[in-house]
Amino acid sequence: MKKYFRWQGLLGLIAFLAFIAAIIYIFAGWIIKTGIEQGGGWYLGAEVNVEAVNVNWSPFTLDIVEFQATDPKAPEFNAMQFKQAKAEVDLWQYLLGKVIVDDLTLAELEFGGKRASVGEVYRVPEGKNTSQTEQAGEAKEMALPDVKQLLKDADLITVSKAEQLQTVYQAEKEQLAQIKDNLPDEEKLDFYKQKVKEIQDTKVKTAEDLVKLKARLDELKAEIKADKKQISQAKDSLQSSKDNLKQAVTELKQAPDQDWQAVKTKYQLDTFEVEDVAHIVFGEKGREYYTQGMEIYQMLKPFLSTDSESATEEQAIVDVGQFIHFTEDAPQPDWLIKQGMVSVKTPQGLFSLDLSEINMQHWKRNKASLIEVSSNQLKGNGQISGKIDFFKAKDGNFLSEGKWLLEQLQIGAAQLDEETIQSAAKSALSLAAAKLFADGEFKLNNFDLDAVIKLDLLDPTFVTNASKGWQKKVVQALNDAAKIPAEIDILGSVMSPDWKIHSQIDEIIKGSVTQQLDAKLTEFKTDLQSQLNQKVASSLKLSDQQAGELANLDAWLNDADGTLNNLLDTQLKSVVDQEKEKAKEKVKDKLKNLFGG
Amino acid sequence: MLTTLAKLFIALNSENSPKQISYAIALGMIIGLTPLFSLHNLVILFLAFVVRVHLGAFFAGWTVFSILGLLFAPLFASLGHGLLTLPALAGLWDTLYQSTFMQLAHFHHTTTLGSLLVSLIVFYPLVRLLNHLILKYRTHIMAYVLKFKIVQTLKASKVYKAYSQLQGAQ
Repeated sequence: MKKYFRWQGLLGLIAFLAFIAAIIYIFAGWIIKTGIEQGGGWYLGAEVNVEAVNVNWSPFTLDIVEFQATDPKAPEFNAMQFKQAKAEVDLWQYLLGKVIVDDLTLAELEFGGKRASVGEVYRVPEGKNTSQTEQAGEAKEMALPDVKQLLKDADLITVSKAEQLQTVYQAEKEQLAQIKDNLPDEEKLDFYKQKVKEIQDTKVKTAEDLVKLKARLDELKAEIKADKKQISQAKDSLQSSKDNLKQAVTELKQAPDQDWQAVKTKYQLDTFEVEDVAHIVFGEKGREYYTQGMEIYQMLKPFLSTDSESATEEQAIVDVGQFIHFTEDAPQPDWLIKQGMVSVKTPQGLFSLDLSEINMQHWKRNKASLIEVSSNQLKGNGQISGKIDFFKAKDGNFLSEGKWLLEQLQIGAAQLDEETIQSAAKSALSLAAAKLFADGEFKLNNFDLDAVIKLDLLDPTFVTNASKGWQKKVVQALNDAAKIPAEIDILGSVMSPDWKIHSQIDEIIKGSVTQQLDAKLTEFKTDLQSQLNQKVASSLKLSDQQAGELANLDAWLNDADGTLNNLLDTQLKSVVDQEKEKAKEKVKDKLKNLFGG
Repeated sequence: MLTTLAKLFIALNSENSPKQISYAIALGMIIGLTPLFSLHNLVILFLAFVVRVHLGAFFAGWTVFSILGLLFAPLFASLGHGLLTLPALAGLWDTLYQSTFMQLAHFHHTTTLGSLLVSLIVFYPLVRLLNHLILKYRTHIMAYVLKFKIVQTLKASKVYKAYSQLQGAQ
């Protein structure tokens, strides 16, 4: 046996293990501190600092002092920091591969706090972080177009219809002039009358005379009929011209109204605003908080998704290894905070979060997580109270509900001086100060969010850097309101929800500024329409002249047609009949004389 | 690093049998490749201290394979994850999991299971390979190497003497 074993080695083993244990005991704090700094830095891609980690062995308690994690997107700020975190950990469960925190105290947790020195960035995150404030702050500028400029716009229907009327007029005029040239004039009519008179006065003595008269008569008739045909054609052309001009005139008369509708749509004169103002006032901060919340969620996501499937997707976790748990008699989540107290420092004041059963495998203990939010130290003696619970089922179904009430939160400074106002006026509309009262509730079913927030802004002070008069009027109207109520509905996927903001701001603006704006719009409309009407009128004046000419031509055609009809149907017809009658009488007289006389 | 080299050099040039050295390095490999704070490593330490293997070679092996362990950790984790989530083995893991001892041994940890499995598979082939290499070294190279001035300087150093005495005492 001695050949293979050295029993004195046991002493060496004990000494070695004692040495390792002593190292751990003495340097545990330093080892954990280094682990947090190195591991955190590797995970976040930016410098992580911990001032000290104190370890208490019974009960096993970790005390992390002054934690700061640099925001890789803005290294002069911290993504997260806290003053102190004290966690009482169940050591036995830890040895079995689970992190069960019996009691957690997290003091002055803060997001986006300024660092004393710029943190080192190891990995620059992909994609530029566009500030939600910048996005929301981009207020729509509404400028009324210049009327003269507008009238030069070739797209205006009035302009094109006026031009069209002139074109139609010219075309019809030329066509009618051609027709007029081919029509019998007064002289021709007089000539016809003269000819008819000559025929009427012709003495018919013999049958031969009658035949000759008949021939002359037919010739004249044919000539008159040819002219009559010309007149008939001219009448048809005239009717067509009248219709064309009537159509062009009607279209021109309708054009100014059509143009106004088009201008209103193009320059959004109907849709100014109110909704945009409401979004600026209520949406900006809301989106800012929401984005911040989602960023925190993204940062913590790998730690929250502890089921094996989602963990597989997290390569970072796989790289360093993970525990995979199986059936247990008394199931425990992979990590659990049984109870805890977190104080969160925000620009609005200090919030207190009372935690209970925080984990992401609720089916194991069949208890929902509960977070109670409270504070009576918000700015302006503001108070908040709220409750959020959430439960994740084994099949991955996630349900959460929450309610909260906020009273008298001071937004901005209570007393505004000129310097503060100037610095706050960074966009077309900013809320510099107000008292906020709000209450809300939400339901989250997996990724479907349904949240309603009702809020009242009391004594708001809005500021603007706008130079336009109407924008200043908007700000003044908002500042004059003692109370601005609003309701924000957030619906849809939690990753990109749909924000609907309903606010009495609509009424406030419509009640005051919109009137002023409407007056300006009316003035603009009147000006524009008067200019358009002038165009119509000048075109119509032209049309009237032409209408007169057409009327004259129409009358002349009717007269000429009537004259020719008279000559043809009455006078010429009677000449032949008379001569026939005379011939008949003569024949009768001759026969009388011959047979009985 | 110099100390590690010295340990290895002393081991190779000592009177110890090649098996003592190769088993020592192979045990060092297990403790080096697997996560340090694991229950099985207590057994490895016990074996290294109680069985007559070359302790210097054990620590040298531990050091070298710790570096390799860091490099291959993701691979071990993937292997362990694959095995622990393999439906065919679900029953086996579930049964083992019911034992507190097995939980304490962290066999349900992906890196621990993967690295331990790999090091156990590699253990005996490594012993055989090292045996062969040490014999070859002692037959063909050792005499030549001992003539180097640097080696003579190293042998004359306090570190060498201290380790020699320590090994002699054991």
